[in-house]
Amino acid sequence: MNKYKYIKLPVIIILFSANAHSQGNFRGSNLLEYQLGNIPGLKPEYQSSLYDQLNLSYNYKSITLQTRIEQYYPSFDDNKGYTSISQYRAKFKTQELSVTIGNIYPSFGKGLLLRTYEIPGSIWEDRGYRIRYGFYKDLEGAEIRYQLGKFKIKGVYGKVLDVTLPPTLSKDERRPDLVQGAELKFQHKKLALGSIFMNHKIAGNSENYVSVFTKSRITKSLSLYTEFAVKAGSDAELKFDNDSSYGFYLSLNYVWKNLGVSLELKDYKNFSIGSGISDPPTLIKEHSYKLLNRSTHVPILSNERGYQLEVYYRLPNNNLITFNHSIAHDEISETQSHLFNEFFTEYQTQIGGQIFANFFLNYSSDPFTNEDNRYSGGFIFDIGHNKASSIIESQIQFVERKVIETDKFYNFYFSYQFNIRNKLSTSALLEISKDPFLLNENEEYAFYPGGTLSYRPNNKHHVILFYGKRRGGPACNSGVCYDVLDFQGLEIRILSHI
Amino acid sequence: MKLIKYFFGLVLIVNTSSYSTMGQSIFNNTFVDIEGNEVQLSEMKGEKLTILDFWATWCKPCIKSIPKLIQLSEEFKDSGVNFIGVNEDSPRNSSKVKPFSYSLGITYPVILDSDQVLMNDLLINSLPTLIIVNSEGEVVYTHVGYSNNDEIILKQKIEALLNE
Repeated sequence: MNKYKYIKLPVIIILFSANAHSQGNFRGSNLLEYQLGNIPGLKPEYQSSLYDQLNLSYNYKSITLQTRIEQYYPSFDDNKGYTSISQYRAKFKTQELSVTIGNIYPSFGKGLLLRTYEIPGSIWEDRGYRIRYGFYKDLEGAEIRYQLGKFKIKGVYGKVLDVTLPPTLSKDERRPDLVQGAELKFQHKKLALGSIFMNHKIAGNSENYVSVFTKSRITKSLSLYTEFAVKAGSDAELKFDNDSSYGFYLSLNYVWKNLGVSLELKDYKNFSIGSGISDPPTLIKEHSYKLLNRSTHVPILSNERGYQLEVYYRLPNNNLITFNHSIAHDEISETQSHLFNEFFTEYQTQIGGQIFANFFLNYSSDPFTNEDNRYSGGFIFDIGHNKASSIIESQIQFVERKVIETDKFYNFYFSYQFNIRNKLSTSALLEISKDPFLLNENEEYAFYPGGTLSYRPNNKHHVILFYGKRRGGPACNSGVCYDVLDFQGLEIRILSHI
Repeated sequence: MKLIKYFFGLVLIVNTSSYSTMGQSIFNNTFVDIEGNEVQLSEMKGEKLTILDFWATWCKPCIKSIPKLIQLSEEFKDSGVNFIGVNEDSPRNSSKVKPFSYSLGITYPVILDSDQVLMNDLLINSLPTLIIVNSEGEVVYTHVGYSNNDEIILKQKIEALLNE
């Protein structure tokens, strides 16, 4: 980090200079969340914590400066609290050149080699550390982008954050992966060809990776993207046996009038890099329905092949039909393999201009989690009144899970939300599960009741209050899947924009 | 080292009051649209107002708002108002953006911001978010979320800004 201090100082001087001239543009946002409660079943039942994230951004002509300050203060352990400037970023940008130093979010290609990200507005917490912090996986270092005619080059250098480790640990512990690499892209009309070289270092080990990709619009209706990435070690011969490390991704999409089709293929072999800096496309649908979102499949990068097909068709009056099918084949060992598959269909319709409805059906099988059969269905009715609206949502899921014996159980979700314009809304939520993994002794059902109250006094502030019991588990958001903790108690969230 | 970082943050905080009413120039950015074309935001902006709608294929309220935005874009197309869809899908879903956009019948341009460059520059933390930018590049209105009939509020806001 010491090498950056010579960069930060001029940044501050520039900032002062800009201030002196009273020029430039300033934006800010703040996220504050207070919790009074705990994971259900843990003692004490009520403990409080306060998390705050302040983001500030200043722009003057070609220069942008940003910083993030995070604070966390729990009532239960002083050692878990912190205040830190967790991000800073300085960016210089012209039409051809962009130079960014600090905390950035670069990716190579479709993320087969490197993908960093932020889940906006999300707070990470895990059961081990019980420390809350912003949910982002950034790279601390530098990125340069330069465009010269049909050529584009991107260079990246820096250390990637391991999002599972809290800010109370040292920077060296939290950023174990050092990445340096470049992406070169050539674009001619509707065809783009690119190549990537990346060196990755962790715990004294150094590996090189290369990747090639193509992007083309074959016709007005048909587009193709392919990417092939491989580990190029000292024995850099290209082979496709059990010891080789590669990732292959292809996507084809087609549009014709009201029809849209996306077909994707994947083949990932021994392709988990470092502490998890790569994030190849999963080819599993990211559902917005609560129960389906939880029942996701996380790719096994050690050996997974598969495809995903998604079809959209728009009927008159903006009615939309969506169909999705995905397959993921995991070879765990020579004698053991798993086949995940999923079928999903959704019908979205408008009734009389004021009712917006969605219906879905889903079947999936995920032997990796021993869930051999999952059947789900549900609906959303969004009903507009004069200056208000109601949203009724219900989902049900039947699961067959075989561990030693076969468990058959239901999950149920219901919510009702009443909105007055975009200003005030209140909702009641209820989840019920008969999942034996969730039930305490002598319990027949696990109940998760809750209620929210949301208020926007103006377009700069948003206050959300939750009280009740919230079910955790796997969740996917913005293309990233992670585990969310159960929570019981009171939660107040205030979002502000300056 | 820590001191420099805290100082850096402090300078920005102190400056908040003096800059809070000013917008941000955002047009100096190049993106790829769903057709695979490289596009400069400055070439897509409206003569009077530019409306940027940040959305993703997995975001239900976003999808619900899009037919209403299409109607608004048609209504204001001769008034110097340009609509631009800014798609925030990650590589996980980016293959679906073009077929989905066509199926929804989006008539205004859609650009891909899968690295969240524009979203980060504007400190946007939830979807959908719609921002209105004036011809000077200043953000003059931000609308977060979508509820039934929000398009009425948006329409009134656009009309008010055009009449200023």
